[in-house]
Amino acid sequence: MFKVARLAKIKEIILDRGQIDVNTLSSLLNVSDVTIRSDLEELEKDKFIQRSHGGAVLNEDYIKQQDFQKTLLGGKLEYDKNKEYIGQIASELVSDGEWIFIGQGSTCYYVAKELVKKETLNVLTNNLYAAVVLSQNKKANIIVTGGTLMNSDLFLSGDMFLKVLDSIFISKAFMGVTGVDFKGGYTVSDYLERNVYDKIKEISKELIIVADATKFDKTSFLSIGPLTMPDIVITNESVPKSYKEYFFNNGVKIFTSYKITRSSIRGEI
Amino acid sequence: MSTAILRLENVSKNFQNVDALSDINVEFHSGNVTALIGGNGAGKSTLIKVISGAFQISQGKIYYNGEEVHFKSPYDSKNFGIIVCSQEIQLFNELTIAENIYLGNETLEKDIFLNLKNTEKKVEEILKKLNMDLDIHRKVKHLSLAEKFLIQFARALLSNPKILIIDELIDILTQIECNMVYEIINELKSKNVAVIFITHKIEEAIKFADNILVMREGRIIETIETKYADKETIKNDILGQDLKEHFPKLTVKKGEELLKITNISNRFLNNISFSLRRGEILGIAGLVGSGRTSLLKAIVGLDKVSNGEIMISSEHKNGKKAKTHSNIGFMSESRDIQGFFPSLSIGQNVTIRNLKKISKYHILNPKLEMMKSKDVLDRIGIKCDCYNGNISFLSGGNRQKILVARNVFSKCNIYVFDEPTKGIDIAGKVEIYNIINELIRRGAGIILVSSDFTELAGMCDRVLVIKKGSMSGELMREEITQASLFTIFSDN
Repeated sequence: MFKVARLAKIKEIILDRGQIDVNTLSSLLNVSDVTIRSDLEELEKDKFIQRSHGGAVLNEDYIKQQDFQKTLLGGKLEYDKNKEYIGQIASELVSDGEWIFIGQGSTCYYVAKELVKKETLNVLTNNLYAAVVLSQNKKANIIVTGGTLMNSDLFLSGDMFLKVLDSIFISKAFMGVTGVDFKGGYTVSDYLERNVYDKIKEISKELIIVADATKFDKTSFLSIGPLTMPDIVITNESVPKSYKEYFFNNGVKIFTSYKITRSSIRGEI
Repeated sequence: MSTAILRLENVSKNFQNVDALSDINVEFHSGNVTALIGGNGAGKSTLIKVISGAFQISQGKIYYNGEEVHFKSPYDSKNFGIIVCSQEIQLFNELTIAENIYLGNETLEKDIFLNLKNTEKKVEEILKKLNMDLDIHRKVKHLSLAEKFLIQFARALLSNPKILIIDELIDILTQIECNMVYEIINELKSKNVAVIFITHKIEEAIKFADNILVMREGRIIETIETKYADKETIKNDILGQDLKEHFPKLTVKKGEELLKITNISNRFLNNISFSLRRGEILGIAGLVGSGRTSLLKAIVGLDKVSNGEIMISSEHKNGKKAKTHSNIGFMSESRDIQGFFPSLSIGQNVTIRNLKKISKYHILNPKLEMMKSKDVLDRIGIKCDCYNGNISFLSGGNRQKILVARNVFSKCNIYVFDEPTKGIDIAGKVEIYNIINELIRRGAGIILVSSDFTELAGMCDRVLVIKKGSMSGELMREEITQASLFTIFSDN
């Protein structure tokens, strides 16, 4: 077993049991005590464990801190390749200098993640995950709306949110939804989310819905509008053909992702 | 009015669930000239092919002199005096002019023997009428495209048509030649022949026809008597709603130059120059016979260039001129004939352009082939059985995608599409457009030839206008609309 793999395995075991002694580890991983000791030494340097006589104990404070940082940086969101593709297309649609809004939801987080790479950026957002990610771009103008924090998904809504947006105008708004369906149109799970939509529709020139393929043919609690509501829909290649046809015929631009890589085009690295 | 010589009742035609014609009701009368007008893809050519029996109708009835008929082939309809002069040149290159013209309409002696003297006399008469001073014993292959077209027209005239159908006059004809054709149409009219001609040019329709049929999206939108015809109304009928904004157009930053073409000429082309950059979609608009396909052929190396230079920029940097155009992926208009190896599996069709990639010591590795072709097909959104799958079971959209996959597999950076969405349903079109988006996002350059003006308007950053083998204009993104392109080609 390589060292890296072994360290990962040891971490896994300690996370599981809370503490462990050297002998058990060496027999579990089938390596000598000496090797295990040097591994543990390294893990202690990383503050992952505290060594004790003949074994190691999980450093719980450290783990808590890590957890907290992860939450802030969106580590709680599961990595999703399909959403990443959507984010890439979305970032192509943003031109220099225009003001955009990034709404709630994990797909919007991926939009923000791609936008970080842009040179100039003016963003208004109610999505705290997005705000944190965007803060990595030091030159960007980021404004976070006020409002009531929705703990579950770290976004802002409520009366204060609505007040802040008075007399603000935006050129493009990127919004996520919970379901997209012929019958229900676009659906979200509660009233507070719908309030955000109603306001954003009012103040933005172009409404862009970002929804990965898993959202299609699904409905949630509240409808926020028919399928023809947005100007643009960004999704994945695998959405049912009937949606592609419907959007095209009804003048909603539909962008879908493909997986052609940069390296498969000659001369591009 | 007398009974119509030809009447179509509720005729529909669809291909793989795409409606090419729906609910056509129309009648044609002897001694009457009808102009069939409409944008590209409106269904004009399909209508003609349905009448001539080249296509079988999916629904409806066709009556000839009041009796229902079923034409199984153009040969059937020819026996009723329905003659089509098509836009594509259908001549035998190795036969002489005379033979090409009288083929099928020979003057016979005792019903068997060719009376060459009489036949050739007739041929000469017709050519004289067409102001063509040609040696009728020359082989057709030496003629120009315009001459070939007129030879075809002469052949149609010699068959004594009762209904003469003329598909659009090819772009290469001069004004004088066009007028001559119309004069002959007038003469036929006085001989009680029913004439139907397709055109793009509203003025010509008004000038030479008695009735104008306006087609759009496979339907007859309007039937107008020429005396009441108004140019603007007809134009609006033809164009319909502008769908430019329906297209998923992604504008990406343009990168370095990929291709530079300087003053190329050959027998179809005259002094054409342009360049293509990474991230750009360059459209080429032209009518049939304008040289648009010839231009593509010259670019991709299928046709010789007598003058000028085609430079593939990446190779140019090394000071070497490209011998084979390994950077260019060409996706032909006739996908099935020029694109595929039907006897090979889907996977093999993908890898065929770059076998090096799947071989070791010059020996093909089938396992590797399957793995790699599966990977690239997956990237382009096709789920299929690479190894046992047969191309013929795939839809038009998926076939087009396989051609793209082949070129992606061999790392092309210039993608040349000739009519990329012809015969493909709407969802399939959306997919092709998004694949094009993906290609430019990843740094490719696109050349797109299409006779669908909405498609050009919807997708292109720039459109070059080709007329009679020369570049006659260039439109930028904001200027390209269905209407502006239509106007360029409908006005002289």
